[in-house]
Amino acid sequence: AVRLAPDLPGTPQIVAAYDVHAAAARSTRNWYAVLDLKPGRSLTHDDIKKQYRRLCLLVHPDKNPSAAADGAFKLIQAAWDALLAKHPPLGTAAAPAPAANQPAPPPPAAQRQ
Amino acid sequence: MRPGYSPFPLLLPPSTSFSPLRTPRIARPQQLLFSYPKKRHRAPPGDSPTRRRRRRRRLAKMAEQLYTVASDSETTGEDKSQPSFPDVAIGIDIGTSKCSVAVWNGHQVELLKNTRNQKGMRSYVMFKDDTLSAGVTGGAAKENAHEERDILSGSAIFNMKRLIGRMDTDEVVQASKTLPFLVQTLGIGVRPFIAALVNNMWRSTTPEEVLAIFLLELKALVEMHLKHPVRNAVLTIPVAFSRFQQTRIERACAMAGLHVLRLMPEPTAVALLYAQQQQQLVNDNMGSGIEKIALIFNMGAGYCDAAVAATAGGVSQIRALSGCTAGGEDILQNIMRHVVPNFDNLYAGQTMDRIQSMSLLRMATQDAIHKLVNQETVEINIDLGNGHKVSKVLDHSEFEQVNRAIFDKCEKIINQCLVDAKLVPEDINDVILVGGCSKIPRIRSLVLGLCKKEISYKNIDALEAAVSGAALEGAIASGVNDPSGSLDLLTIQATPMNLGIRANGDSFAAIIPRNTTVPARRDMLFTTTHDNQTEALIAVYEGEGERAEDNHLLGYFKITGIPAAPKGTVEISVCMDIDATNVLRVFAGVVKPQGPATPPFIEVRMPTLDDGHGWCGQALAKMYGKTLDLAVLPKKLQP
Repeated sequence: AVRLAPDLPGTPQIVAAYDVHAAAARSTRNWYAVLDLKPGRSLTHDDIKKQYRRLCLLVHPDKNPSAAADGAFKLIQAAWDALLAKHPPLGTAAAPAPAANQPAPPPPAAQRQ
Repeated sequence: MRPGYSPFPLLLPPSTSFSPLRTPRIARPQQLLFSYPKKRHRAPPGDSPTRRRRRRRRLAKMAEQLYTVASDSETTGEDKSQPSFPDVAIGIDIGTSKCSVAVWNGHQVELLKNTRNQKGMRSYVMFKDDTLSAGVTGGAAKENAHEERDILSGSAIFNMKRLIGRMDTDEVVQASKTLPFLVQTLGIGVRPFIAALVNNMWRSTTPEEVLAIFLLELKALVEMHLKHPVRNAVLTIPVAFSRFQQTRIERACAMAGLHVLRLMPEPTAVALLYAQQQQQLVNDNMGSGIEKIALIFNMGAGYCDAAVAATAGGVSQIRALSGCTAGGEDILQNIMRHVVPNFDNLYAGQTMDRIQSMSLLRMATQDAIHKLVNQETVEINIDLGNGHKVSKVLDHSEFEQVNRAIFDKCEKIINQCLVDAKLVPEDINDVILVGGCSKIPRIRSLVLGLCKKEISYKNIDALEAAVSGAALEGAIASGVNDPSGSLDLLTIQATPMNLGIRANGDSFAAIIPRNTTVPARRDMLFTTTHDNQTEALIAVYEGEGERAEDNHLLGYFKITGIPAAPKGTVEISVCMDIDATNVLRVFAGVVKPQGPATPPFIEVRMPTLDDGHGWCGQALAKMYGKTLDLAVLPKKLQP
């Protein structure tokens, strides 16, 4: 669709929303894929935060009129919560991760489709 | 940033979610006087008859359009005959004391003024013989001083925001009994009876009705200004508003012919405005673009809220929210009681002379509080009638002493906000103080002291911030795109209160904890408490209390047909979902054992209750006792 009609409004938003769903459906617990990140040593808290914000602007239902936006945003949120626990901000590495005792729910929207 | 993006609503208007079912069709009250048709009729000198006729036709057409919107809500946004104006939602800030309205005019947010050149309009509705007039146009009063006396004569209803959606057992309603109009309570947990004085008779009304009349006049003002009908609105609400109160606001809007696009907690609207300002700094190469954390403290006449927002790249994420019902009205009442120690005896019943004398006291006290902002001491001298005279000098320390409880409440919500956001005062970059009461020196020093800051953020107008933020959100949520990028903004909202169900006896199990990012979906597993239990009651509550009863009951439903099994073996899933428009849905059903013998899931949109929240819980307990109870399935048993 991006190739065929580049002028169609909102296409990047819709594609982003479906990408999120697709990534979540491929593997239930790979939160890195949901945020379109590559896991690795070099991945920092700020990288994740930046990517999370970028995706928020794309798929938040306020910004994205497609029906997939709501579910996609919830998936991003779950991924963010899960990754935040793994990559705490610099300087607070020793702090106990608050999300650890509350495992992020499995992608709900993917199951319902 | 986003190539090829243009306003989408032409293809998929956001207003398609607008269901006519939710908007009762209510005709405009005929007695309301709109000022604009008169104005348009006034022909300029040297006007030719043809032009006058043409104008009249245009006017008739406009009136037709207005009528369509006000009474026939089934016409949706796809009406292609009027594409000249995009359907941008307006922003409304209904304050306990003052209201304001703003619109996105295509380049920036514009605050509208009424015919008396006021941006902040007193929130009240005056009841006269057969006319009603709201504070938007100022009713019959021409001068401000005269207006205030009229408002306090008993014929006007004000402070709607403190009364709406509250039961007569509520302490806020009890405190409202000192207002000059009638607030009658029976203390049984139903809505209070309120009435205005018309021709020496109490005429009954409801807070929703009063608010609707006010909104209708506000809407007329905007339509006169924009010269096209207005359908959608974003309203700001206090953080402390329950979901039930939110439905009351929605109903009042529906009565006024407005569709509520979003209800935004006031500090989050301010956060959005802050995000826009930060983004502009980045665009002007003056800001650094790194994340900034702001604490927003808002205190108006009726409510007090705090929020922590993290802002970067135009995205403002609400980290924590908290609010309480403390405001200028409470400060005013405390001072009145302090100045007149036998206040409650003196004004026990509402007779004509008492109403008059109390209104004098109210005005004098209000005036004194305002003066005390800039003065060291203030003198109150009033003749209350019946030979009762009051003369008192009030200074800051006395003022702070009398209102200590209120300042303690403020301190509590700010501390809670910081704890919930997992931040220390040093993390805060900016402290934003908004609302009428933020001018009080003690409030300023208290908030700044808690955040260990010397000065507050300067570029935000304390009285206009919330409404400007609401108008921004209105433009964003309507899908407006600004080429200069000043609308590349987003607020990521959070829930202000825990949402959960009653479980483990009288306990409250929070399924969506407070400060969860919205949209959200969370689920939790529960199990039966009796052998062969076939039915279970799901009672949905909202609030901060440990026990279910301390919270606000939103609604309840029953799961039936649970397969017979020993207690603790059946798994019942309760899932809560909040979508982007903040609608709460609860899904519940049996997930284990699986199979054709289990009943289908139930989906319920909350709140379902309309009245008598306290009663319902008691009635359910009396009727069923513990027979339908559920228990939280311990985590270690969960897969």
